[in-house]
Amino acid sequence: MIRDILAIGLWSVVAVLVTYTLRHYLFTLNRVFGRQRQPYVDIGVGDWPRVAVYVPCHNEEKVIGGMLDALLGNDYPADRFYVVPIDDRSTDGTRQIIEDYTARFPGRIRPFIRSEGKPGKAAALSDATREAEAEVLMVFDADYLPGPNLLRQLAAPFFDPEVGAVMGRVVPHNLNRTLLTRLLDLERSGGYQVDQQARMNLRLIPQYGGTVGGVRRSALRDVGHWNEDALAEDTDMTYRLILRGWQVVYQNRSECYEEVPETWPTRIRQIQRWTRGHNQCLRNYAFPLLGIPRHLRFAQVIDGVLLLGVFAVAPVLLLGWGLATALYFMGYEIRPGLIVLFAVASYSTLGNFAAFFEVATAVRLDGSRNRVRLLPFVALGFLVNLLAVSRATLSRRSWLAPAAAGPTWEKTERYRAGNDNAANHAAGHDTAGGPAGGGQPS
Amino acid sequence: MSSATGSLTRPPREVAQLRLRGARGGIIPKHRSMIRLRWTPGRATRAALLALTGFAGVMAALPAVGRLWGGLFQVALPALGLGDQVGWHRIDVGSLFSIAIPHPVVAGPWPGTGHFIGVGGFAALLVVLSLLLPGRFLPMRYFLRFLAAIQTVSIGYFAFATPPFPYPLPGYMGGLLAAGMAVLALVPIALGLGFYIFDHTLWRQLLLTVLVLGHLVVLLPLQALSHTWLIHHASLLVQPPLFFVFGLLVEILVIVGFYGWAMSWEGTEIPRTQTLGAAR
Amino acid sequence: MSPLLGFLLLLLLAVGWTTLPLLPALRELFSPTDVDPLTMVGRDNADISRFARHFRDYVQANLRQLPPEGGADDSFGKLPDGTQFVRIAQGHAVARAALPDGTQDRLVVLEHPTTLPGGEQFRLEVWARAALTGGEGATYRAVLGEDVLRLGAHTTVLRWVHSRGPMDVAAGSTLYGRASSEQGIRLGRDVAFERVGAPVITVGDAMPSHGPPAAGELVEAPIPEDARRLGDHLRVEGDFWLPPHSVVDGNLVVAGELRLGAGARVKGSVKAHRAIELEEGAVVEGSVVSERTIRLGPSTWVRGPVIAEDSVTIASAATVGARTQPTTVSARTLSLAQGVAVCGHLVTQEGGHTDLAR
Repeated sequence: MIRDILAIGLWSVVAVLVTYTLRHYLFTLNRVFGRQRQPYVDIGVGDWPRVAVYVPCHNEEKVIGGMLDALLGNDYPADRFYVVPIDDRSTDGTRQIIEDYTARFPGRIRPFIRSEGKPGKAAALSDATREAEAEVLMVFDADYLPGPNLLRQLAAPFFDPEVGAVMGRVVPHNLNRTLLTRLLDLERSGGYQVDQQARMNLRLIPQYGGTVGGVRRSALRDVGHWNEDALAEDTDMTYRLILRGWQVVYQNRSECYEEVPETWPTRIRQIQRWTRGHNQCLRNYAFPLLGIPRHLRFAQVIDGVLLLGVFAVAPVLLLGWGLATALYFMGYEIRPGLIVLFAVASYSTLGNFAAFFEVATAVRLDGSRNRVRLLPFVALGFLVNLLAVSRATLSRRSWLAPAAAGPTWEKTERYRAGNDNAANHAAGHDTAGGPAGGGQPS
Repeated sequence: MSSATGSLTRPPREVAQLRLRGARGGIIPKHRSMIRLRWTPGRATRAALLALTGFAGVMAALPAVGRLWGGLFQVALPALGLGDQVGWHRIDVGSLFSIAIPHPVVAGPWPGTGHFIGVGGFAALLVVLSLLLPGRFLPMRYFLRFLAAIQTVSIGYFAFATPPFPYPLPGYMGGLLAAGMAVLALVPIALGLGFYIFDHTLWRQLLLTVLVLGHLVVLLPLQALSHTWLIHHASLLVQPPLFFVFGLLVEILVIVGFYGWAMSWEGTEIPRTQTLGAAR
Repeated sequence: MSPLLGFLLLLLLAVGWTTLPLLPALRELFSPTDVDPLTMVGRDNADISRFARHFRDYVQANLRQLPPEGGADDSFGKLPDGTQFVRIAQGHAVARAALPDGTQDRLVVLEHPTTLPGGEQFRLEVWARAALTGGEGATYRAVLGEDVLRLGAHTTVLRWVHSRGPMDVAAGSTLYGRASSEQGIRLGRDVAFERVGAPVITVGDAMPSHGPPAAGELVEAPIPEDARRLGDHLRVEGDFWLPPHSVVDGNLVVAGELRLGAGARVKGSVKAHRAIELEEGAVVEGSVVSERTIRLGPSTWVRGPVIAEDSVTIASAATVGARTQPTTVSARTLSLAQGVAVCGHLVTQEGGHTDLAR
């Protein structure tokens, strides 16, 4: 009897893994062979909307200068955008740097200084955007490096009145530091080049990632502003927009450099933060989604639920291993196919649970080659992620009401040493081998 | 050259070449966000044919593989001091296909006190090692602890259980090798789904298939013999971790290793746009 | 050999054999060859005249390094990077026989107003420093015109063409890549193109209106009961038809098909998941976006952009954008009737064309 119950549990786990594996295979096929939907990326001229670019900061002195330089070097019409660095009680030189830029670029830099209120990115954004004048509110993390054309590319989808949020592609810049950074580069490739783009192609639910993206002001107000208690305000915003009837657009062409964690403890903190936030959204939005709102297609509902569950898959897999072990000792015949399935799942990246073939496909489409040889090492990262995600999933913050203290400033460690070459590289970098601007004919 | 239907007609081949070439001869590639492959009947047919042919070929070769493994066991078992008995386990797939799978007939002893001490000490050593490894080897630390955890569960089981163990060694070996043969048969199918569909040349597709299959054909009996020796000497205590960690997971590791290498090979359509060279 | 030794050898063999397929991974780990971040494309694909600007910079910079040319004769040379060029000093109508040998395989610099005979195949760029009138049936890799540029009938441009002055593209021509002008482009009938950009693009003789036509008598369009207001737009599930001479104030999102009757007006942008059709004289004071097709009827006016994931068809006398507010029409395929005027960019993924009809 107990054995039968455990066996049912085990096969349920198998069903979940098979579902996600099939989903990712379909995404891979679609990305490789399907028509790529990027309907807004060719908009070169238009009556560009007014844009406010928000950069939430808490102790970002190492990187904020580079970010502001990159934004100011953007080719978006200067009279149509301004930058709002949000300083939330930084204790380092962040505020001084922001004030310096404000003095040098009055009107273009409009800082928002917080000295009270809930800590955390969501709360900071909520405060700062409440009185926004611009039509489109873009958000970048302080350590990102937007290229000169990025704002225009991200603003273009907002000509579509249904679009509530836009997300671009995040590209690691510091991948040459450790094995971890190289594995995360593979993960990002799989997640954006294949996963997000396939969801865009198939008209499912691309995710707004909270950085390298933007939200329409009227949509933000329509869904009740940022959720200050959300641990993942980006995922939370995605679902509130979708459930209300707005669209979220992913634009694969709109790329921006970021820094990925270089050490395992930093990575663990990052993924645990994502897990708690994501699981919070799973709790809040799974049932409303399963109610199949009239304006959503069935495929969108299914994809939306599966997307909510990506971080819950890790403890499910761990449970599966546990059940398999228990059943083994109870004399239950563990079919080899099950072990194979679990093994294949162990070569997935976490964050989107992209299977290894999805990662390999993405790297190939990126025009890279040899980095995909690191695929066997993905299993190393998977084990760390599996345990980190499982611990976070089992934590109170994932499932119960927000802790009384509310969210805090949680962010990835910064590695750049001030306004350095990395910022210049992103601000002015051109196609491979070419300086920006003139030189060689096409 | 225009068409009233609203789409540009295909230009002559030479003109098409000139369109895509930069002024100084280089090809101008599409941006990576827009790159894709065409799903043509030719590509689909080739992928399907390769996969099905490969599958059929492997199935046809399995009896010979079984005999090869049987012969290998007959030579290796005495050299390893494991006797000389090779058992054969017949598997029928409906009425169409039947294969005899060899396996060493070696006893896996129920653990005695010495085994508990030895294997327990080994598990403790794994934990100590995991604590001594520097922080940047975190995944290895976790792996060692994971291995130690499974071993500890096994120790706990055998501490309280009574014979017989549900999985005697000969049966476990037969099962491992049967599963291995199933993996062999599925390799062409898996490659069909994940490799043949890409833009690699035919000879590269065949090369990968041969390499993977050839490697696994050699690996599986080596694995079986290693497991047999370890279980025979260290007792059934080590069979669960060997099954869970060093069983089919090793085959998958090998396949992923080959697959990652093969996906780095140049293709005929998707251009390489990232420069390769020594790390700066 | 002792059994223990035998086992150790076996283990070594097994571990070694298992490691073999991991060697490429280990090699890449310890001697990385592919660790650069993805190179970001800093130049914007939406910048239509990018190639032309780069070419101008390139050729000017290279020519500056050469000793100054004198005289009225044609001359050959080599740019510092090895590119062969020919400077055609003779102006006006140039007979085929008068073109220097090897002209078509060199970068061509036309110093004076020139009329070419036609039928040439220029394998490298042509830089016309004065007005250029191309002949019928010529093929150009790329053309940069610093003044007026007229492409003869059945011309083919392979990569790009750009003019500082007005550009006239005669009937039956094919413009692959980008065609741009800093003043305006007139497309003849049966012209095929990929991307076109200019302050004004007309098909045949057309003049863009300066703004939306006067509204006239309009009645408020009946809105379905189950329509919802989301932020700044009204959402309608299913199809929606605006009756003739009706108006909707604000943005509209329709989950089905959207049709604007003759003379109807939307004071905002519209989006439909399926087809959009604007009947004669309809006006949209914003963007028109469809996940399928868009048809702009005769004499319609759209501020822009116009974005369709499938096809866009624009009927005669329709206008998109305004001189003071250029915009973009983007679609998989695009069909323009005679008399259409678009201010800004035309962008297609699979090609556009102008109608055959006169």
